[in-house]
Amino acid sequence: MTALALLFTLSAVGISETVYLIRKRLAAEKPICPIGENCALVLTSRWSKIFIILANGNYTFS
Amino acid sequence: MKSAAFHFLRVGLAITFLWIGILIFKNPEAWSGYLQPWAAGLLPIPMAQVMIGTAILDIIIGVFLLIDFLPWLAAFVGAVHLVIVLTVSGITDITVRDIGLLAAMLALMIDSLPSPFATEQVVTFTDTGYSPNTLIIKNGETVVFKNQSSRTMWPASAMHPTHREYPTTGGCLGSTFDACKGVQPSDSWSFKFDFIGAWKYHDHLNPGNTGTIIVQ
Repeated sequence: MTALALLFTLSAVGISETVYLIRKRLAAEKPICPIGENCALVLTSRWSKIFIILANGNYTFS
Repeated sequence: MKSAAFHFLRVGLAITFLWIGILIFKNPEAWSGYLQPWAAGLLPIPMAQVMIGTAILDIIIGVFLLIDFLPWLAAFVGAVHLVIVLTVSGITDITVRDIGLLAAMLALMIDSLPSPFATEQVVTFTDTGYSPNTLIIKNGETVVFKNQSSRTMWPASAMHPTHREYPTTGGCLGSTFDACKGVQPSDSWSFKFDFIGAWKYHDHLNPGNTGTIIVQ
């Protein structure tokens, strides 16, 4: 039960974080960095441009 | 801008409601035991159906909070739901924790309420610079930069010349807080501020003219 709860919690955090980052990217806004700084790197990396993110062609993240 | 604290609270409550919704869904009869007899007697439909409905409501609230979709509405419904739970179950060793959840839901709702009464604020640009030099506004309000000088102005976020201090991207140089062109005398340019903070700006054509918009 504890392992399942932990898996559920981490999965939920992951889904939430993913949705948050996608919405920030579509809105061309910088994400909040609770720890450290330069969180926007996760959106500017060339590895972030796959699937639907790449289709957002009218947006350039500088 | 929603703070990191808001997102911690939102995701934490989302997980709690999702998890409880699933638990109720798996065993609705067991959870119905928390209802006081007087409350159970008021139900017009079978207890199991009520608990399944409660489970679905909890899951919907959890999903809305998890994906940050209408968080104020999800928090409002969640708070009402918790008040009902505390009423029909009574405050026991277990449900006493719902008081904390209720307070957290109310805090989340208050923090994410939309501001339908947002108004326009005005900054006037004259030959002596921006006036008022420091303007305090509420989050979500629009500032109109009116050019009443004898020359062209170009309001833009600090720092000159990259304009990247305001935390958005997609502007012509850096952030979207950027007129991106000269605003002619007697013309104006508007910008809506969606992030809390003290945002410095300048005239891109004459960077010595500066000002600050404080968004609360």
